[in-house]
Amino acid sequence: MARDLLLEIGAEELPSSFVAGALAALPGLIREELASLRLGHGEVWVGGTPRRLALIVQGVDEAQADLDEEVLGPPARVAFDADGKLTRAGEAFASKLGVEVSALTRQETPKGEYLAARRVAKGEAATALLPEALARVAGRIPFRKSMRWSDGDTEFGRPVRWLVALFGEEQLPVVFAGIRAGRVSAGHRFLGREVQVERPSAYVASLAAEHVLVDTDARRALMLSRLHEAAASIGGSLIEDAFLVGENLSLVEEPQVLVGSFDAAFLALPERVVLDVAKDHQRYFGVRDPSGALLPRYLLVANTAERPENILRGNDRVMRARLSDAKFFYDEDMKRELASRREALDQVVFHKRLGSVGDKVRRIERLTRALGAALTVDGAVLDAAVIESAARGAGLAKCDLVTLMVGEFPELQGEIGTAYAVAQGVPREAARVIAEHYQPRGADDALPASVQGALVALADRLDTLVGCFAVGLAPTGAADPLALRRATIGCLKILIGHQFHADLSELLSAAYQGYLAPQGERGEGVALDLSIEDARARLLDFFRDRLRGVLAERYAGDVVEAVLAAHASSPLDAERRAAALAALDGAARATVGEVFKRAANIAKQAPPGAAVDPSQFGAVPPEEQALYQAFVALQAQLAAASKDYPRALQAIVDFAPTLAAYFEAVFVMVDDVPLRENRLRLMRDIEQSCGRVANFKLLAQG
Amino acid sequence: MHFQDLILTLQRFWAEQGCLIVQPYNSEVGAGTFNPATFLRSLGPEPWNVAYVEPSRRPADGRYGDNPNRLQQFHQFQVILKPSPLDIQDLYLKSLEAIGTKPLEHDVRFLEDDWESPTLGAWGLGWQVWLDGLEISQFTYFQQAGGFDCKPVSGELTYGLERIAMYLQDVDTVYDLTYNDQVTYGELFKRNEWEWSTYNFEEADVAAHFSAFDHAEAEVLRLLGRSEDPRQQLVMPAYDFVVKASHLFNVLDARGAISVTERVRFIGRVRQMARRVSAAWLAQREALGFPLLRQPASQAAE
Repeated sequence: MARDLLLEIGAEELPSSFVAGALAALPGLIREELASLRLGHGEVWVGGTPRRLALIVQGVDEAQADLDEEVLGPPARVAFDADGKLTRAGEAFASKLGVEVSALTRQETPKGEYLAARRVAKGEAATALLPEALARVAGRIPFRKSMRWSDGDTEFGRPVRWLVALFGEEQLPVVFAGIRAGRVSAGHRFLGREVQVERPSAYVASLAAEHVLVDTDARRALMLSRLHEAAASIGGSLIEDAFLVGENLSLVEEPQVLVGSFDAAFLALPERVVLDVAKDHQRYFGVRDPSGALLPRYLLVANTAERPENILRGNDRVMRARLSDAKFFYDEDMKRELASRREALDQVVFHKRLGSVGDKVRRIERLTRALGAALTVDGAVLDAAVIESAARGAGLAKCDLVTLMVGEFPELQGEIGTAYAVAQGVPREAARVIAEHYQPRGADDALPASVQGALVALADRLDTLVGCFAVGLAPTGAADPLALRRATIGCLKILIGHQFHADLSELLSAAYQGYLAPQGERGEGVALDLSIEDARARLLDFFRDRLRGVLAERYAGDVVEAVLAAHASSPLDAERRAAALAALDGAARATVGEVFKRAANIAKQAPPGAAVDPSQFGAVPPEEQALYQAFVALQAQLAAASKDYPRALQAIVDFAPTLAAYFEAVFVMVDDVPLRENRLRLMRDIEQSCGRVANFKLLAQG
Repeated sequence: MHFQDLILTLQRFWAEQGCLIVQPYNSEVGAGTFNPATFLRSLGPEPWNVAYVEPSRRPADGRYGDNPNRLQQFHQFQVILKPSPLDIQDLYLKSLEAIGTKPLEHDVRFLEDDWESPTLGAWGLGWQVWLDGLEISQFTYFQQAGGFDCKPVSGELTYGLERIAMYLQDVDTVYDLTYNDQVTYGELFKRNEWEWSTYNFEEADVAAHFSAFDHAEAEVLRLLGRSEDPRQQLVMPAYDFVVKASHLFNVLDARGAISVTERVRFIGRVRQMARRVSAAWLAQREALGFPLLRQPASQAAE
């Protein structure tokens, strides 16, 4: 026989992240407890709302399995003294297991003789064990911050109000936070009545009858379908937003969706402003019409909707007040040219060692130009007009930080700057830099769409990285308060995504030079702790480690290692080599790896200097001449392929059998010194020529 | 419901729940929490249930009477229930009903909002309460005050009276609120807002405020240092100087006289004062035998 087990912890409204965290932890906690009690069980279900956390375990055993096991103790030489009497360690083992000393035995094992005991115990009834186990589970739920309440000492995410604990139909006397569990749960705070839970399997349905959808997935599905329905009812479509779904889901026990509205005149504000006001302050969803334009409507998820007119009157008022504020900020901000705010940036500290944001803007303006001149795309330099508009965008990039709008809605930084610039007649290519230069904000964010945005995004990050490293702010361990790892990954993704060919070392030097140049009106450079060489060397290592990670998202580990071991001065170049290498079929890659590993091992012994002397390769063995001729041809093919890595690799793959045949037929390490050295030099040259693409010997062997 | 009726209704409601109805503190405070009826009484083991209106001063929030929502002086209705009763949320919801908003006919929600006062060395966890999308109250379980653990825990309810009244009266600017059936909020306070905004932002004597701050700090030390015996220490006057120092700092901040780095230092100085007074208060109550512990339980909320 087995019975289902239910635990419900009723609480005052738990924050949404608390509910999510608790539900993630609960299955592990209960499984651990049941395992340590030797109680078998079936599936574990968890569910929760702001006011409750619940778990159901199906088919929990009625009783523990009986115990009958042989337990090994300390080695006999430790457990017994010279006279064969039990030592303190031996006694301790007996008392730990609760067996008589007389019941101890010796057991022979491959590692020698050990003290042993047989432990036998009748399995206890689950009803006797579960109450304490469930209390422990409740006490171990992790919360970001815990609190005490009233005059108790228990800590929990919010005050605990009731407990339900059932084993089949039987109540379990769980006691937690001074509350004794029963079978009475609470329905919806305003719409529901008390709920008598008969048994675990009736739990979800009993609560649903009292307006509580405790199953998180079911609640989400209902909320989403109601949101889509509501959007459709006004001829629009829902603007989906994962953050809003999560937040609203954990604010209600039964989702009701209402359609609110605001004055269409507010649609003159940038769309992002309207959506942000709705989202960040009020948790509302936006709605678009079929043409994609924002409707002057919003969707709100409520916990009750008995009198929608009251709820909408209140929410519409709040939305109107918020939008009026935003409109006021917008109008005030628009009274001034965005560019005129640069002066104010001199008063904003970037970092106390690295000067003001104004200083930073001047540096990234110059660096944008330097990067524009240093980068190539498919061998071509960038258009001068593109570089010019990027530099103009760089000059404006931080100006919105000192606007009223960003003061009130910090999350609009960038977006609002672009909106202001466009409205004030700044050409779109320059204006969009303001929003784009923050991209990518994280692992999943898009890259800047325009070349201009990409240049400034690079300049901004390189400036930060070089400055921080040069004054000793490089991340240590896991701590990275300035998000320098993210900035580095951003640089790499931009270089690769925008197909920017560049020597990283050159870019870092340019960024370093920016700090040496006079900063603003002070007329002097920034004092840095590291020399340009040291800063560059550390950053190149730092970039290389991040590049390994970026490439590893797409390519096998051995491919990445082989490519990086060749060289990593241009991230784009490394990416292209990795792509070409990964595109080879596995067998070809393994063959190449094997044969080059052999070549590399031998080449290590090559004497320095001197070129290969082809006259020393005689007619016999023929494989030697064949190899030399093939290598001469390969060199020509590699030169012709240049950065066309698929082509270069194909040439190397085609060359590999000749090399393999050579190893079969020719013994390199002959006693004849000139002959041996000449053969070694050939190996060296082959390895060096091919090694510009990848260090093939690092490839995994078939 | 007129503004004053809102106050009277809440006072009546909480008096019926067993709260003492005390009066605002007679020195400038930034929030009802600064009133010793909250800050000091939330420390130590003695039960305490109290409610009062607190005109609260936030110099930096002044808008010369031009902004429909922002004021440098607004009114909080403050309730402290110690220890926090198990039905505190229900009591709060009943108080909303008392002022004419039946929760079932509206959308009432409790949104996570943790509270911290760096100057008071105090923090707690709780919510902001939304009524139909409008934040109308702060609800906090005090965990620490003056750097000391709160045991038992006090539940603090703070109603934003202007906001609630604007909602109830359906007006878009605070100045259109009716205070009673004769006088509007604007008639009472609009001029006040302009004058204080002008003073706080333009006229406040910076040097005098700095020196008054130093004086307040010195007084705290002197009044607590006059004896080793906690019963001989002047805890209440010392706390009064903490409150004054905090307000002086707020004025200097609004006046733009305190830089970002200095700001942290000034907050630290006030926190030190609050901490000393808290320690002295606890020692004194203990020396007096925690008199309110002997009060009958009827003092607590029912």
